Amino acid sequence: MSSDPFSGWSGMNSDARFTTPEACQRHATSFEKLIRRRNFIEYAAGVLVFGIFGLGSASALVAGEWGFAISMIAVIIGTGFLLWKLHRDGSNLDRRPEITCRDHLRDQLKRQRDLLRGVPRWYLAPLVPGILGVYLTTAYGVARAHGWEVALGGIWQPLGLTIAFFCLVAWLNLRAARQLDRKLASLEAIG
Amino acid sequence: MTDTNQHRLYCEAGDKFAPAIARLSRAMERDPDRARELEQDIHCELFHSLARFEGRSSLKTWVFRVAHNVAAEHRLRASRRPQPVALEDIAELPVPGDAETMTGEALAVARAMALVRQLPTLDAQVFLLWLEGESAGDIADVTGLGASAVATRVHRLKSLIAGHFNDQSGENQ
Repeated sequence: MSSDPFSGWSGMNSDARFTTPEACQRHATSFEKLIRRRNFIEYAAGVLVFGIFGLGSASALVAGEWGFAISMIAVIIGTGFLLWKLHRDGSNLDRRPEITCRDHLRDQLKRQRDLLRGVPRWYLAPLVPGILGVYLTTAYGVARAHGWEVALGGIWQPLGLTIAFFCLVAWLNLRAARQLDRKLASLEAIG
Repeated sequence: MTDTNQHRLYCEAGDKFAPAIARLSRAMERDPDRARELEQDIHCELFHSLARFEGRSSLKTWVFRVAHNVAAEHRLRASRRPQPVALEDIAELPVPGDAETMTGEALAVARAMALVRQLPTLDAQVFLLWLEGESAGDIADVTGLGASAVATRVHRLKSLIAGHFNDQSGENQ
């Protein structure tokens, strides 16, 4: 196959040389840097949540607020689970860039799609018990003092907003997963 | 594979394909510093991958697969890159920003690079391999596309290019 208008193409960069193997062993590729950065953010976020909710649950325990303490511990457990999941499935270092370009692209799209598709299950659901626990404990405390009507009247708006936010996150991720599905289908259709 | 073999294959690949990888990096990434970084990433991923090379494909196919896949990942990560335009939707070759300062061959190459950055990844890979003078069979081996899909893409590219370089393109094979 020739490419007449671009006859100068193959003459370009004729003096290029490979990086030495020694330098390669020292050099962190962009992919490795990306994984390192993502892991750092994951762990930093985890430390933050563990710190805030850990202190919160400890204070609640000292004050004898068992409902709050258990709810906050549930949030910590949920966060721990989703960070583990993100680390295991989102930072998979097992890669074989020598497979065909189409297979490589397909594998990447599938991995991202599966991760996004499962967001309601592995990202949102683990946080639900803890967050619901905080709301219920708050409502119960108010109800004891002022009755359930007042308690529910005060809780429905923030609870509604939380549910709406969770639904929005789920919908955005499922929509992104569907877009990746369409890309995968067009990749399969190429022939 | 022994370390010696890995180093030998890497040196052999470097002698044969270093310029092609430099061109691929510069075509996929406009920014010169990032292009140089991409080029180094390709070298290093290739070096590590050669530990798994068992000769089931040719060294050339292996090198181009690794290079194009690493470049494709780089593209995926480049968040501010313009959205790709499907090959069938491109009516004319894109014009590089400093077109008025270029002539002839340099302009053609600059336009080719601009086109690479606009095309979806697989089309860009086919185009680049075609520019490297690879056969349809070799392009199919590297990309994993069927021979007819490669032929269709190459035909579309030739038509696109012929429209703009009528006087130079002639009958490409």
